[in-house]
Amino acid sequence: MLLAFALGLYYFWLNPLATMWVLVFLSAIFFFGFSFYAIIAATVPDKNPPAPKKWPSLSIIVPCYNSGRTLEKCLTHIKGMRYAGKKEIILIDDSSSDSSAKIAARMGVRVVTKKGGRGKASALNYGIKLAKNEIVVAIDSDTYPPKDALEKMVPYFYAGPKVGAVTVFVTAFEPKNLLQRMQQLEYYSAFGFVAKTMGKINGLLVTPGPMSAYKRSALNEIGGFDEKNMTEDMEIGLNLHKHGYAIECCTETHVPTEVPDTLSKLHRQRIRWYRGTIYNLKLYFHMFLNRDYSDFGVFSYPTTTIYVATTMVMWTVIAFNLLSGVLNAAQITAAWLAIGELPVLHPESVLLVNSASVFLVASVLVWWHFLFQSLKLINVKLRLEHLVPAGLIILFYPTLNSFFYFDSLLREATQSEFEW
Amino acid sequence: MVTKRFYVGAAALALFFLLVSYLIAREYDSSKFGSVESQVRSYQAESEETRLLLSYADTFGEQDEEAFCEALQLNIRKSRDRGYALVNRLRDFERANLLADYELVRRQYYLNNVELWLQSTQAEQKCGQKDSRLALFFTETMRTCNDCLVQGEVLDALRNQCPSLQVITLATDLGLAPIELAKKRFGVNTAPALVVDNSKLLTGVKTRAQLASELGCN
Repeated sequence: MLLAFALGLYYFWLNPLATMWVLVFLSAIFFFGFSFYAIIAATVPDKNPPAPKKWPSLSIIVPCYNSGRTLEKCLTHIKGMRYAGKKEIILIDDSSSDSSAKIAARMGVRVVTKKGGRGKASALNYGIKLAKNEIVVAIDSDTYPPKDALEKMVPYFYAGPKVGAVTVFVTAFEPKNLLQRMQQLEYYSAFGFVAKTMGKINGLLVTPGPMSAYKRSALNEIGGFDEKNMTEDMEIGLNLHKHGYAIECCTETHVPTEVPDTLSKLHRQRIRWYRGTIYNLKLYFHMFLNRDYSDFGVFSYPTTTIYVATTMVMWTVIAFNLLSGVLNAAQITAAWLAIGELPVLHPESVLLVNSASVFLVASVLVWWHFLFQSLKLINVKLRLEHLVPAGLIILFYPTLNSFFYFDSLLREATQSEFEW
Repeated sequence: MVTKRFYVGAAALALFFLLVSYLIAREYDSSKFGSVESQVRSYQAESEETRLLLSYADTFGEQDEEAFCEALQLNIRKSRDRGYALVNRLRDFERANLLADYELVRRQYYLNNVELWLQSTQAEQKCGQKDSRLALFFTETMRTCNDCLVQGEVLDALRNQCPSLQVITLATDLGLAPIELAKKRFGVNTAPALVVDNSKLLTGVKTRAQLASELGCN
């Protein structure tokens, strides 16, 4: 099987004409997106809101289900966050069967057990009902916010006239293996410079699950989180836009969160994310190119939709090439075996650089620019240990993500059962 | 607020990136194409030299037959080596190409192979020496022909093992008139096919041992 895959890849690179043009097409879209971000970043000033005269009261809600492994660390970080205003911490235990509730209680955190275990969105809504304060901060139980997170985030609620939510720069917590290191770079580039730029034009679609802050009045107005949604953090972002709320992005601090450490866990996570993305894009399609939703409708929503569509196109082409490569390799191998000899391969043919790679290299340089801009935001320096994952993320990640998107599309189209 | 100037600016910047990438890709393609094209030209120049040698002999007769035959065979050997080295290069470069047009150079190459074949045959007729075996390898080049690929590799290996073997590759799917005539002459209607010493037709993929025996290359 592995040999067939390797041979497929080998012959795929020998016969990549269609893929070459897809690469050029995707590069063109990527260049346009990048140029847009670059122009916004260069021309729209940073908001840098000053600290409010009176800090609003806030309720931190931590939905939790069997989080014994990470909860103590998470709550230690949450309790360690500085905040000049009034704050409360509520842990919503979604009927855990482990010691999560005991850990939280031992640490002096208010624990509310919710019977029935109906998922994160339901737990969050339960917490919102209990919250009494102006701002609701939702934090995942495997996320470790730094001391200054609240101090940096809350002023953004005063950066515009109708701010409904504030997001933060989410990063991967202490990556241990290659897969996690790749995700670390992915998080840097996605939640840093790109998110900040989108935030400048009120173009953020998602309020990331690991940590986001909301105005309680806005949550009440829009009816809280959609409990049937796979990606409630995206749905609520879209719903806030629908009701005319702005989403601000704070990148002055970063919030580490646990990321999947195996391919199967990553697959499960991404199926949820991407299936949710497809579902939500469909659900809020009336916003597509709709001027009533301003820049969000005219720019952010369509670009995200185009990104999802092109990623799937890319996967389709790659899958087709891989499949034909595998079939071709099988036929060639069969032809060799039929004459009693082993296949002869010419690595020099594969090493011959394809001209379309120029477009790929240019796209990679653009991506590196995003990455460096993101790292600058949080004063992180790129180290030697990032080099291998940075190379692999370019070669391996787009294909993997395309596959996840394609898989998600199939599951969504067939309405297969959803696994959390 | 995103205004039209953002879109125009982004489109202009994106076009700039595309243009720069396009120019680099075109330059890269041109350099690869240029190298193949110059090799095909050298190949053609060598054939031309052989052609002139034959023409000279036809015009004035061979006064020093030994020197003539030596020069002729040396030229043909040189052409043969150059032509053979080009076949994989041409295929690989074309597959890694995005913007250059290889059609003409491909036709020139295979037409020159026909010329080499005819010159080899003429040399044999004129000099009467037979120190090598000639195998015409009929193959498809435009569509995937796995058997052709395998047979080409087997012939490569055999050629390294047996320097006296002369293999000339003829593309059956380019619609080149001389190759169509050759196909008709030898009854070739499938690829891969081999015609040994302008007479014996072998079709289908042959093993190295089978070919070694057919071509007297042990």
